[in-house]
Amino acid sequence: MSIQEQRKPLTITSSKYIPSPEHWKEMFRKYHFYEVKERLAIDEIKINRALFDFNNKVCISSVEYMLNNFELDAWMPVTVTEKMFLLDGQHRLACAKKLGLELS
Amino acid sequence: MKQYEAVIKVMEANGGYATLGFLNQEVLKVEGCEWQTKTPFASIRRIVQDERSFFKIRPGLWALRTYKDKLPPDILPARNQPKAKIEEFNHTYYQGLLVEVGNLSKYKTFIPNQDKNKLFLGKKLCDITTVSEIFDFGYDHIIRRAKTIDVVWFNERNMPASLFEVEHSTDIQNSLLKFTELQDFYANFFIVADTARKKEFEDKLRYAVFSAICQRSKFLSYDQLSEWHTSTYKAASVKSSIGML
Repeated sequence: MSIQEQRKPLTITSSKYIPSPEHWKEMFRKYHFYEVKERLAIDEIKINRALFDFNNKVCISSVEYMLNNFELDAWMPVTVTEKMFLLDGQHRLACAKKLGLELS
Repeated sequence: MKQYEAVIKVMEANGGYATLGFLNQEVLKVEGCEWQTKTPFASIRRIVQDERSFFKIRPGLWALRTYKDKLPPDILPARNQPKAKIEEFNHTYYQGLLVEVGNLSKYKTFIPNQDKNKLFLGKKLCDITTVSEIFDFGYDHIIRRAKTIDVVWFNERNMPASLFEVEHSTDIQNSLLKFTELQDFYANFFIVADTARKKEFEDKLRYAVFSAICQRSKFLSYDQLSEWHTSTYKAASVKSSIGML
């Protein structure tokens, strides 16, 4: 998702970024079918539910729980297609939007 | 006291609901009730299936009809709750079952920090796990990934024995990637999900990148987990009755 480490939700809102920790990016880099990008513009991420492995809706209370119990180590990068369609991470995306982030 | 009354008594004392496993453990302790049968656990199962007095909330979890309107929302979500909210409760429920099975099987149990405040049958998940901080069993980057796995069982040497990802709605592939990172540990990997997702699991596991873990990765359906939970409690109840616990 991005760089720059921060821990508390209150400080995250001021940074426009929640950095995904290096241990996740390192994991995805091992696989040729992933290309790890440091930053993605949230507004450019599109949703096509047909692309989801499991077509669930965003649970608002889960997003709120995530915000209130934020754990940077669990902040995995979202996955998108080359054309910026979301494949995984709609709750993280919703969380990022709720935090007022511009980039994820 | 009749047998069904003993079941009702245990459920009432527990707030009007109970897992079948909990019933197996507690009902036989009720004084004044005779279980002159070789299969008391089967009798308990039959009793809760009587729709006049009981109803099923989800696999392995039963409640009293008379408590239907009094049950807390994390036990029985209101009908107007969004489906996603119900799924969230279910996710925590299955995490809780895994923790209880692990505890009764003498493993040390761990859940991620971000899940510690979630409610499982009226208790915080962190109150039923036996380990609050993950053991330092490997390199830092491995530990940081492992501590996001939904439930981890550690053996007596504080090494990971079984790892579980509950996939209620999330991507199975990411969980398999996490497991692959832990392939060097002598551990079993489980994806816990609805039976409807078994084929998706099998398809993903055939990818060449998962060849290292495909023999050790298993699919565990919610029904199987519930059955495992119930059986574990049964075994614990029998052991307790013969003084082994």
